[in-house]
Amino acid sequence: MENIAQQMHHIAYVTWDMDKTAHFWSHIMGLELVAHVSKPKVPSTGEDYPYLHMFFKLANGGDLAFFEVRNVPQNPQEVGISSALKHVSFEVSSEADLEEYRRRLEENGIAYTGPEEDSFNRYITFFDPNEIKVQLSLPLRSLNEQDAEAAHKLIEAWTAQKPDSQLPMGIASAIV
Amino acid sequence: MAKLQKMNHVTHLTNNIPATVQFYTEVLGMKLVAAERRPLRPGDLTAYPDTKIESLDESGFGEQLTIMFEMLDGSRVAFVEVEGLTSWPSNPLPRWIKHMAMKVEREEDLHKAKATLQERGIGVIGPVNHGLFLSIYFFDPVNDVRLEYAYNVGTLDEEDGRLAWAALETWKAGAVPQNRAIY
Repeated sequence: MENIAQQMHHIAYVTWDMDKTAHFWSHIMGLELVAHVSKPKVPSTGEDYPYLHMFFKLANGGDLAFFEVRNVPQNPQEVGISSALKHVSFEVSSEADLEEYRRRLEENGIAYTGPEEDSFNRYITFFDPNEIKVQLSLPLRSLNEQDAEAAHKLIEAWTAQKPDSQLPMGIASAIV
Repeated sequence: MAKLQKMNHVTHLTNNIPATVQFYTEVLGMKLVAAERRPLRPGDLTAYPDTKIESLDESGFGEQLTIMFEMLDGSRVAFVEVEGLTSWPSNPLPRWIKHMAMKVEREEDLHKAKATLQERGIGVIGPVNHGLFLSIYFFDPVNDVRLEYAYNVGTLDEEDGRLAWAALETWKAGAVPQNRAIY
């Protein structure tokens, strides 16, 4: 299939406190609360989970979204390395903007780490009220064909050294 | 005032890089744009166990490989595999909650994508009409990540924002708020 993904439309996380979430993302991080959807049942599955779904807008029109859902276990916090590796990164367009966000976090008593750099971004890391690991990233450079070629080689080498590595398979057979 | 421009990337965990590459490139048609292999660093492992940020112990784990697929605006979906990390706790919440929607340009893209996914034996829900947008839902079958393609059919105005703040108050009071007719 041709790539039809233009951009992120929204990314949705769970919250156990929409009030705190709305305050953080709207008043501190500056994303406007633009819409809500609320249902007594889940439309796609029919399950009995009343929910409030809120959308906070990024400059490019994509939304960071949250669900607060009744009848689900409260705050089953994931701990350990797996929770630390998963994260989402939002982009700032200048060093000055990155500085401004650092200042806002500091003014609101929110701990962050960085700025640090990987091959592509300079970024700071913090946790939102839902303990979602968030980075704010300033791109250092754009990606090019050499990056793509190198990626294929790195993957080949990585896969070859994994003794139980699964070779590319029919996707249907990958469904459990 | 500074603004957050867009999603730069979202990073998920994987324990099967080749099948992940196959799904995102061959099925979804995204380009593999970069990979980065290096040891874990303390900054990779900051966690939030007791209301303060601290770094987890990286001993026992080897190198990590992060692979990245790109949407047309340059934002990326990334997966990281770490040597020594083969499994992790599954998400205890209903599987529809945490997800990522990708915006498509044409309504027919939803139908084409649904057909392509179904040909590969992947279950697809929708198109579901949310009023503001139409969506199909499916899972990345390798990594159990819930994905969505969404096509916008409506636009929001300031009233939607005002109603959203009002809905928050209703919800806090214990009721399920009304939606605007558009939904």
